[in-house]
Amino acid sequence: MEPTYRNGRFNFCWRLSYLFSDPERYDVVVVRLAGEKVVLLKRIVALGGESVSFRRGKLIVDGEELEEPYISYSYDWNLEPRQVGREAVYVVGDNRQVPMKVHYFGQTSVKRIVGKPLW
Amino acid sequence: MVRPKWITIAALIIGLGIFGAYHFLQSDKSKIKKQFQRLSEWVSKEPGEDRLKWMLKVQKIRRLFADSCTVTDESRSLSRTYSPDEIHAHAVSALSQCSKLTLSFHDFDITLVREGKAEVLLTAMVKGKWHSGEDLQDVYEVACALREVEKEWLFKGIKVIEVLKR
Repeated sequence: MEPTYRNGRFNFCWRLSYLFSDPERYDVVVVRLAGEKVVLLKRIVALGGESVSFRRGKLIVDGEELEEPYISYSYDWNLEPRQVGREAVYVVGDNRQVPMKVHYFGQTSVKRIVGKPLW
Repeated sequence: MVRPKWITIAALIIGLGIFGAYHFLQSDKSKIKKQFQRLSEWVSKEPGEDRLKWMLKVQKIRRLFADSCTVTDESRSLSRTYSPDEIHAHAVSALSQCSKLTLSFHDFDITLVREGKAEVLLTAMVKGKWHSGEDLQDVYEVACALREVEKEWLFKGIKVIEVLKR
């Protein structure tokens, strides 16, 4: 999630973030794996039912190019459009200075979202 | 009327039974965790580590696997069954590409399905350095199946779960 969050830094997770609201685009979220000691920190770029793709490093959602002000430098990513599942979100890290193949991103179930980082 | 003495004895027997069952399950769970600790220790690699010593250490991982172990990777749609020798050969080949590697396991969820059969869900973290100098850091959610063979818990299946699907 660099440059927004430094790798290995300490933070708290606000678990009540989505108690009364649903995750929204551009939210930075904590995604759990098998448990909650080791988690992923990612940004939601597309919501359930939307189509998402990357063209020359630009994020395209439902055919429209969206701004990503949190990106300092964008690698030339190209990803064919894909539909996000109903109970899912599409998450990507902010560090786009690496080739797409080495960046860990994609669709995940909303149920895996634990909360938001506190700061 | 039942005497209080008999009630105490019955309560003691039940208590001991519960403690025994709990202890038995716990000891199986700790034995299973120990296997993961061994795997972690035997595949780790330090820069400048003596090659012969390292080869002998990696060789030990064969002991952790059943006669056949099915490895499944959801994101690559890959599923194959390996013998302990094949797993060892793959491990040596993969580890030879790194100058440093640590494998750690977190968030254990161990279920003893039935006698001699266990399922473990956990997060595996790999950290290290490629020979090219680039950092290596990955996390995976992994589901493992273990079987008890001659009082040893052996890996029978390893499945890498796809948490983020492209």
